[in-house]
Amino acid sequence: MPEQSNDYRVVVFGAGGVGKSSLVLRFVKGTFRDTYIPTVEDTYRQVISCDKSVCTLQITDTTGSHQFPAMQRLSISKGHAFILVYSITSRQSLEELKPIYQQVLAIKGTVESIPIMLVGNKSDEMAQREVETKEGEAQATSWKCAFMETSAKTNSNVKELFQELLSLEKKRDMSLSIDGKRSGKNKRADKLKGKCSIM
Amino acid sequence: MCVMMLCGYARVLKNVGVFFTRRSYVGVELVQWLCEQCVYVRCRTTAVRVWQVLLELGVLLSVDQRVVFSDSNSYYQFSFEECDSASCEFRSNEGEWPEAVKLLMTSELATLAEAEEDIDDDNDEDSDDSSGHDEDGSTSEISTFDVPHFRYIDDDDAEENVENERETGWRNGTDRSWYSCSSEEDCCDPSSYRYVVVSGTPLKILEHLLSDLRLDDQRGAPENRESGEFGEAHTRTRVFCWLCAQTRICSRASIHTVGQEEGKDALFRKRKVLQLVSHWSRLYKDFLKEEEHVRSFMKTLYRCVLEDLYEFPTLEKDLKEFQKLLRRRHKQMYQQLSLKENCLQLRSPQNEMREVICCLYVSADSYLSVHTHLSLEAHELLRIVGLKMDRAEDDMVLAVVSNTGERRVLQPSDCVYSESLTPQGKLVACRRDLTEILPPLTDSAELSRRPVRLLGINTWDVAAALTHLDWSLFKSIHEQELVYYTLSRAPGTGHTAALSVLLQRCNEVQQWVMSEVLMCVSLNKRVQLLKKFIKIAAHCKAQRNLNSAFAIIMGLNTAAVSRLNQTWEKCPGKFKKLFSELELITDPSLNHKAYREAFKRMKPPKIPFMPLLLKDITFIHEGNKTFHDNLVNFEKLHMIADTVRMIRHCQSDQPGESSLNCAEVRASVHYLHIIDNQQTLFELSHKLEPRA
Repeated sequence: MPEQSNDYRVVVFGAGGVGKSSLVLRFVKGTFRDTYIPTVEDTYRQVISCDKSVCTLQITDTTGSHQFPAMQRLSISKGHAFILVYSITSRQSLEELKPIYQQVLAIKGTVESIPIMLVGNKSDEMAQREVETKEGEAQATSWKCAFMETSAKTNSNVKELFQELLSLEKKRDMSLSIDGKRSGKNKRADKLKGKCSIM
Repeated sequence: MCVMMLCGYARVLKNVGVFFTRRSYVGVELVQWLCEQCVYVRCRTTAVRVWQVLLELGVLLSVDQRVVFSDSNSYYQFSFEECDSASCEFRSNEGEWPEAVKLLMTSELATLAEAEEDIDDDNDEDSDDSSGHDEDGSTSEISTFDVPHFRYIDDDDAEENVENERETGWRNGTDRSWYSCSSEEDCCDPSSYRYVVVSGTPLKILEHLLSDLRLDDQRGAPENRESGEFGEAHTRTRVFCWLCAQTRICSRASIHTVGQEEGKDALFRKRKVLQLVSHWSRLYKDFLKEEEHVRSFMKTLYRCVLEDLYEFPTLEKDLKEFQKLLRRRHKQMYQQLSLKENCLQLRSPQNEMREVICCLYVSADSYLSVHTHLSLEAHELLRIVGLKMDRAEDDMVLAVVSNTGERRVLQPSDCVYSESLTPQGKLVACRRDLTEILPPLTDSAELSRRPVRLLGINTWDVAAALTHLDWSLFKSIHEQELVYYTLSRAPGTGHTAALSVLLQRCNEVQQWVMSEVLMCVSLNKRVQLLKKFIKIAAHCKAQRNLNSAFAIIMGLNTAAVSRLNQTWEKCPGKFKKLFSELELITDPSLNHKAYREAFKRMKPPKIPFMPLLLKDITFIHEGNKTFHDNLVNFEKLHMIADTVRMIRHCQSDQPGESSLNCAEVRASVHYLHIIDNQQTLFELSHKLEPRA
């Protein structure tokens, strides 16, 4: 399927080992098939609602090299939103995000209208924490972007992360759940069903 | 499936028109009819059993609501007359419905018989691993598939793990059949008494494998697809126990006096099992050396075979082969033990010449990556440094810096790598007075003196040399290394040596490109260098070495380099265009669609972009459960095998021998000066082109 113009491209950056792939996997897995086939082109795509219709959320995970963050100019220039991931157990990984942020800034020109989310992953590993939540928040403030701590392992805040990112986009009105109207109606139907009993 | 039988039956009955229009049938008549019409049903008791099964399955209904079918005047009805399944083979071939009965008999009835047997047997046999999860009808030695490594994946959705009760198992047949046996030939094999209900239990898969495997007299049967995948399963699970159990089943099968044929088949299967194990062992020998459960499995299997020898003396020939295998393995184990005791290097020559990448620090923030072999000595390394860095060899020494910071100078004839196969600390080259050879690289005075040798070397030659080196690394990768690398939590335990080197190489080429560009102080030369690298990348792609092509392109795309606007602007449009085209192949959107398609179209020999391959395997592994309740998810293993087999496909042809004897070219590619400090890279970048 060729790349559609109404694709919403989210690019995930971060050093090696912070859990970018796990985050993406958590989000994508099980959303449309039981068997997860990573070599298929629409593996990282999900249909989301957008401005009263639907569009495709395309997640680009820049896992290139394991030990070296592969920063790709091409994916930045094509991306609409960015997730910068570090691990709370590694200060180094937060440091390595700085040049990436600079690059996004350099290529995009301005980050005012671009949804960027700074993510501290591995929030379940309390004992090995090297970066306090406050520090992450401070960094996000200085970068004028949003901040969240997640854990791909325990599936904490992962969906919220993507939902929040989508809501940051001002040019379109997007949401993970498709067709909000219908789900409302469904909710009512469910309520009614619960009350009926078979005579 | 019994429905198939129904079609034929109902039609026959209609034709005969003997029965009531309400279409109820009398038990006695049903039995009678079956005995007469179906050649496989030899006695009334068997017929009764067949009908009983149909009753239990709901195909036959008892008018009086009985639970047990009886050979009497009780009335029964069929719940439906015709089989409306489009794929029903018996629809058109009415004469073949007795085959369906045979299927039914061999599966269901044998299961019934087996179940009765087992309840007695299980109490007697001592099991290696007593666990709660026993499958009905199989031995109790099949332990729960408690493989620690897979636990973290399968535990993900704990609420989905259904408790496995004794009764469920064969008869239940899960609604998801992971592996279906479609060939009728298998199903009718009387000794494989479990073929109709096909689940992906390990035993089932093994049976399928064995039935596929042909017993050739020549050794080394051609590897079929399954054995490759089975190999995957083998290295990481306790499938070995299944083989053991299988042999036991064969042994026990001989106890059931079902007839001479059964006995012959049992022997056949035993031989197949032995051959499969030998084949597998030969294929993956290096990787199985240290596995504890492999050893215990082999021992157990050996014991089983010894037991069977009494009944099947012809097994002796196969046993001798097996013994040889065991002895070889034990010898290796013995050698390893003595190694530990004497600290002697009893390594085979192949190991000594194994290629490694040696990192030698020449300044605080940069090192020389030297592609060499394990038996490298200190003076050789110094010679390389002298060559590369334009320094007098005499003035330099090699030292090892430990974690505590103390330096130990190496003597010229000292081996760089110790017995433990790793350098003994951080390797540093420094002056005799132990001061640095190079000041920090941010000192541009030093850098401006540095010659840019690369500019004087032919581009195609550089690309060819890169590819040649990559190829020699790629060639020595065994498929299993990929599995080990991703599946084991601590990669690099010796099993993944060749793969690690190739990956390191990929990273280093990337860093090398960055370093070279950023260490080039003159603007014009830098522009030349950019052009050169772009051409080298294009050549690598043309030579189907995508590992290096990617590395170079990514290196040029890094923040520190791509921000050098002035440099890029001076680059001629032709090159910028070429670079954009090359960039496209590294586009990660749509899951690297551009790369995957381009790579698929290339003919072997070709070198893939390794990190992506590993990523695929990682995602297959993490995204799919290995076990669903006690069934093995062979789809997952198939996928891993398919991905891994890509390596074999890429290696399937040899590249032409390149006549690259030019020392300078080799030096430019084998010894890379790499800055590994991000900070330094950015400082250099900013020095070259300060931010506006």
